[in-house]
Amino acid sequence: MTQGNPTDAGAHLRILVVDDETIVRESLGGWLKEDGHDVTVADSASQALHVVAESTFDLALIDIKMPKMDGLELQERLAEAAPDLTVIIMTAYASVETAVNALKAGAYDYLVKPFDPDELSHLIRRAAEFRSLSDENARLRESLDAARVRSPIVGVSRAMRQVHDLIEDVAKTDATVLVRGESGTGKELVAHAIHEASGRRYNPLVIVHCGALAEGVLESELFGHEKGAFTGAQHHHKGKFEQADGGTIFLDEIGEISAKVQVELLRVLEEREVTRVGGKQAIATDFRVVAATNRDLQALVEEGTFREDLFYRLNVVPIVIPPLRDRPEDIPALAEHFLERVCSKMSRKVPTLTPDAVEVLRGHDWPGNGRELLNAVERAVVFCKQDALRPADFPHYVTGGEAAAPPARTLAGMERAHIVRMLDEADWNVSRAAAVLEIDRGTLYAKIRKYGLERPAAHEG
Amino acid sequence: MRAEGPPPAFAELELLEVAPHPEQLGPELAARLSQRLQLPCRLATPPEDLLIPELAGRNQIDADRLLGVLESLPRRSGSVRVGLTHRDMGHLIFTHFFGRARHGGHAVLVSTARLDPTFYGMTPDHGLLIDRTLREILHELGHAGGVGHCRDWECVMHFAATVEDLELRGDTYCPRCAAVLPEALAPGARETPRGL
Repeated sequence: MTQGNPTDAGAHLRILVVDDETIVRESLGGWLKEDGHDVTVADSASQALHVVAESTFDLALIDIKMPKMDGLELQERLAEAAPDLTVIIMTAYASVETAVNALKAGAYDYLVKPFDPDELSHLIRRAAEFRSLSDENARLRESLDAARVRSPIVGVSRAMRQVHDLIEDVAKTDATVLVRGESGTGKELVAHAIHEASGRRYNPLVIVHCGALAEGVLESELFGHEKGAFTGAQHHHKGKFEQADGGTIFLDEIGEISAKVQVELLRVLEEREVTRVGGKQAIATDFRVVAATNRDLQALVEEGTFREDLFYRLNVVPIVIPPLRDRPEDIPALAEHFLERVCSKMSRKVPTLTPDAVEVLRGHDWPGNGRELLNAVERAVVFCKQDALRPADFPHYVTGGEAAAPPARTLAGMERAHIVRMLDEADWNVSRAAAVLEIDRGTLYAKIRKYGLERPAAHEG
Repeated sequence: MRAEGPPPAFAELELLEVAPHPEQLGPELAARLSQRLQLPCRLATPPEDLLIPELAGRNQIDADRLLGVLESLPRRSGSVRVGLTHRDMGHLIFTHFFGRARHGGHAVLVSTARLDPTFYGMTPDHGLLIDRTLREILHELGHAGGVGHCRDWECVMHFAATVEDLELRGDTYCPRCAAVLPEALAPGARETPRGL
């Protein structure tokens, strides 16, 4: 016969046809066999359950109207007996509503009798593709899980063990987390660790550096905008909260946001829906918030520059990462960790850390925390000519000597170095760095571009 | 439909028109088939009392039952009957068929209803109708010869869900299908130049 060929998807499926009418079983079974599928027929729901217990099937075509146990009940029983089975319900015109109920109960699709062979062909092809994608998705998730590092946060100190425990506990919930810690302590890594250990890990982790964006830009980034909302808004734009649907949003430098954005953010956190800039419709979104700051938010609240209600909304589970100087016992493990990472990146053999070098590293107070340690290790690896890192390989400011790098001789060189230092001190908060430098933000951005400066990636701490 | 026995010998084809197309396609199709397959193809007349099974409430012929009727009619030894009708054909669970055959069966059935451009509101096109019908007959003969659907779009045994598909697929048997088909059917199909 001519019509339909589900094998066009390239798959030979194991198909179970369940119908109490002989003519349907024979015709449909024959039609499917014609296309190279392995077909088994069952004349009742109980027989179907029996064969499913004995064999594995990819797809079941089930008539909805059968004596004793109908297709819907069979579908429910099959969902328990063979959860991976893709079910297509066959129905007559009179029972389309029931078929819709079958869809709600998890059926892949339904066919109304008599069906167009082309429709059946397409449906089976789509079911085969769906099956293939589901299998691939399961495989990818397995390999992703295997490749995931449980927690990239390195630390053996009691304080860091507590942070670990807190991350594990809070990851199981959807509670909002406020991470506090000095610049370079690894606040973003905590957000990653929480997300990766949570049930949201297969959905996006959306990161927003709030301090780096001007008020209007931040609003648009966070909440999205509608086409024509402002000059230059040529397209609809999904905000970060919408992008984070099902996942986690990490709001870094939360202490830097303006009073106006604080109000809007509070509303989003309370109502769990966003309204795009220039839009009227509220869009529901399912997100978990991890916020971070290196500032004392409580003090900002007392100063009146940070909303108290927003603070309490964010500070549901506070996680404080102590500075590296307060946990020197973490320095050796952290240094080894950075050493392996840097050498892997440079495709170099990993040198050992001499005991003297470890002592030197432990003796430094690391004002830049993990980020500073990483930079020191990276520099040491670059200059190391032997199989072991010795104190001399590290910068003088670490070992206690003078600054390793000679000061720049040109005005531009000095300006560049000074800007880098101020940005580092401000944890790359451009507003604060600009304030310290007594220049406006635009000028600072221009200089950042001019000198090709880049915000350092997050580092362990 | 699955195999019911060894494929027929294909010693000759018998073209039997039931409720035929008004243009009386039989003689031209018989000639084209004979030329194409290098087989004798003769026209036959259906019995006067032939009952055409209908699908209740659908104004369609019941394809499987009519095929059964055609298979039950007396035939010459080694002959394969090609039933041709202009009535639309359907089935209890399928809305329509272009053609129908059983593996190893001695009859095939083709409906020109949906092969005719006028079915889709197009202007009549005799050449196109003949071309589509010949392709469909070859396809159904392939099933009778024991071959299922083929994955090769160049092969006439590839499925065709629509008339567009039917024209897109090839009009000869691919080597793999030809190797399975009876000698009388396949060599002719393979040696005949393409382009019906």
